[in-house]
Amino acid sequence: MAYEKAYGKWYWKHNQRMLATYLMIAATLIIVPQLMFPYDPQSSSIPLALSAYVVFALNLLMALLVPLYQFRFLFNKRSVDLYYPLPMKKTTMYWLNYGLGAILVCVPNMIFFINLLWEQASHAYIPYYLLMMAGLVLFGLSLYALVTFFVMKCNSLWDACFAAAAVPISQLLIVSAVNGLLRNAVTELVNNGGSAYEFFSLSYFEGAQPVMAGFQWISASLNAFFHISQSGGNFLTLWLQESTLNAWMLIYYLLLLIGFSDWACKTYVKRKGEDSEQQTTSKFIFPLFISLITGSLLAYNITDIAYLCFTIVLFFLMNALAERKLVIKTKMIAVLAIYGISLLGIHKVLIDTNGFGRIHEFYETDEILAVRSEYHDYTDSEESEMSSIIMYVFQKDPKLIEMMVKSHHESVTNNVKHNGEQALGELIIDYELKNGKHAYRYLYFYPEDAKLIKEFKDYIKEQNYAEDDVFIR
Amino acid sequence: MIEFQHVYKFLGKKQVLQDVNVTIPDGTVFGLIGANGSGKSTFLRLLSGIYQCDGGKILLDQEHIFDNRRCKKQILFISDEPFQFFRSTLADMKRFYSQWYKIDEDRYREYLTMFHLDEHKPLHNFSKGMKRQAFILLGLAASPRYLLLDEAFDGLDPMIRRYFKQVIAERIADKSMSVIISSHDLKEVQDFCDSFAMIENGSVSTSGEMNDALANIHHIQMAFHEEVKAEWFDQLDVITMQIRSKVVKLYVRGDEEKIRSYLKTLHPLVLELLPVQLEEMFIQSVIHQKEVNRHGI
Repeated sequence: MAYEKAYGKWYWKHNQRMLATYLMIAATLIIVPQLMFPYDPQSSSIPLALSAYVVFALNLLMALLVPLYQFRFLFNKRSVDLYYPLPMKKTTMYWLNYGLGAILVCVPNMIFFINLLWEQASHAYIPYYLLMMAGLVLFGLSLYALVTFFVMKCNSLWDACFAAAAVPISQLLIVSAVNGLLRNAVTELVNNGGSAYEFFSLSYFEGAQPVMAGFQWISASLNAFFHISQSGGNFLTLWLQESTLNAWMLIYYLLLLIGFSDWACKTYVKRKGEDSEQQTTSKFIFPLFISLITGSLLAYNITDIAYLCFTIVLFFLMNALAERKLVIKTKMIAVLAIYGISLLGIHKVLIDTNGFGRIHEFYETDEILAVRSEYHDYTDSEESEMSSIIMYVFQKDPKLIEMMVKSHHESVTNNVKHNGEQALGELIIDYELKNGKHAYRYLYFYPEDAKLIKEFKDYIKEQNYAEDDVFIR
Repeated sequence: MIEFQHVYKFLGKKQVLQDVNVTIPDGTVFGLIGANGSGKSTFLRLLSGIYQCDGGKILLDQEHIFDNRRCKKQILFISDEPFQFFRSTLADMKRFYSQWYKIDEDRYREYLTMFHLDEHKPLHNFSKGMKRQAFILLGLAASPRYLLLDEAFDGLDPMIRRYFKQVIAERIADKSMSVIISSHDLKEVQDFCDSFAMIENGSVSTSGEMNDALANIHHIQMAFHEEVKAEWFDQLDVITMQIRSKVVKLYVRGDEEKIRSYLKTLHPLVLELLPVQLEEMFIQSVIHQKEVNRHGI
């Protein structure tokens, strides 16, 4: 252990200036919102929310940069000559560098927590902060483990930078691609509107990657926290209601963290000293990320020509980066062709089968749990018959749902008849279905719809719904 | 004692070392000789645990060296272009190495004075030669059991070389340290090293104690009535051969009397023994190898 301790000590001493600068920047960014707005958990959510988002943004940034910094010696032959002969087991060297890096990723959370302890006279809310911080640490470290694994597979710093950036980008693109692919099918199947959520709830899918999970977590934690600070209640129950993440997702992240940390260690141990500064040939870097990024971009909107051209250019540029020269190979064209044909095929199957029988223009009232609707009047003038119907309503009222469905049917008929011409405004409907899915519809409304809309408005007024749920001008 | 047993190493698809068998005894200065790209640096990197061999064994006191902390603690490798941290000084590098090696502070100070080096001056402001001095100095002050120097003396002025040789000789005498040095300067290796290995195309062509090896190698010049033919010498262990019409120069390994008596059967006009020069032997060997490659002889 003496060597490990000595290495840690040397590390801090050697990097103390850089660490001090990092601490100062992080502390400033985290504490400034607290200073700008007086801290009051009973009434103000701004400083806490701002600081929480800054902390998570720093977590993410450090998760991408720290693996590059900690293991940069692998990408220089001369530094490999210095580090590899040192009398330390490879696994020990890996875990030391990895562990020190993990601390750097968590520094913003520590600053934030110390700041909260300092600010709060009574520590009644500390467990909630701790829970929020624990989640952010978990997501930050999961991303750190993932990036470290991919960095270990690289042979040069440029390739490692590409991999570090490609990890979160490809994750976000995959989510967008699935969303886009399904949404495009739905919008073709229904009259205006529609979203991917009509197939199934994408929240778990979105939550399966650390960046989006972190933001969901912050939002759920803050909402639950402010609810109990103002109205009381059980934090955990409220938090679970707010959050789309559940215990399984946390176990998934824990496994992701442990699995990729260990896999990265094994990759580090297997790395050959002579690989440094060579071309990266691992299938986990360029072949994987080029496939994911290109596939996702094509899936997002395969039918748009301009978008298709951009994707093809990007595909060849990424290949040029991998090969260190601009080349167009038959294999690359074949890959693009396979992608194109497959995605067009999937799109066609989704259309022909009505989204495997999941997509309907209209839903029965007994399938609908709640309805949210908005009317926006384009004319917005006193003379307009519709001038007072900018409305927002969210209710589980069966009668209201029935009226909404009726209005929806009528509106679709009028939309088909007028095809967008002389519309007076737009109608947005969001059905929350009993099976957990959501169906969105965007329609125009016309003078013929006025009677139904008025009935709808009058009914809402009669019901005296809570102010937060209804807005009528 | 370090042993290379049937060691193979590939870098990418290229075979860099093949069937290397070398023993490096303790308390010696071991010289590695070879042309550029012959595999000297790969040999040292394998020995220091930077590379892992693809076949065979590299043992230190019968233990595998690769990823073996106990073995690696006894070895310190100074590459031909040593790495220094950003804006670091010699004092910083000493601090780094002292985590793993016991730096002899008195000797370190003594060497600093001897070589007129400022330990607080950033290393990037040092000349190439000074930087090399600085790292060799650190290596010597660290007193490892095996100090590996990759072309360490190249670029040093004669005076500094002499100082280093003197210091190395002292360290070997007082502490059973071994120095393994690769160099292009064969004359220096011949004068300075106790034992050596000559690497040609990834294989060790000649190795052993310097004096024994040189005693067993004979530099012979002969002249004949007619054109010399290479096959006349097939029965001898020829290291290099240089034929110029009716004159031939040979580096031959073996018993001097047996070689001489065989050569007399060829009825040369002249047969004389010349002093063995490692550098000449190496150059001839390289030329000979090129001819073999070109003509497939």
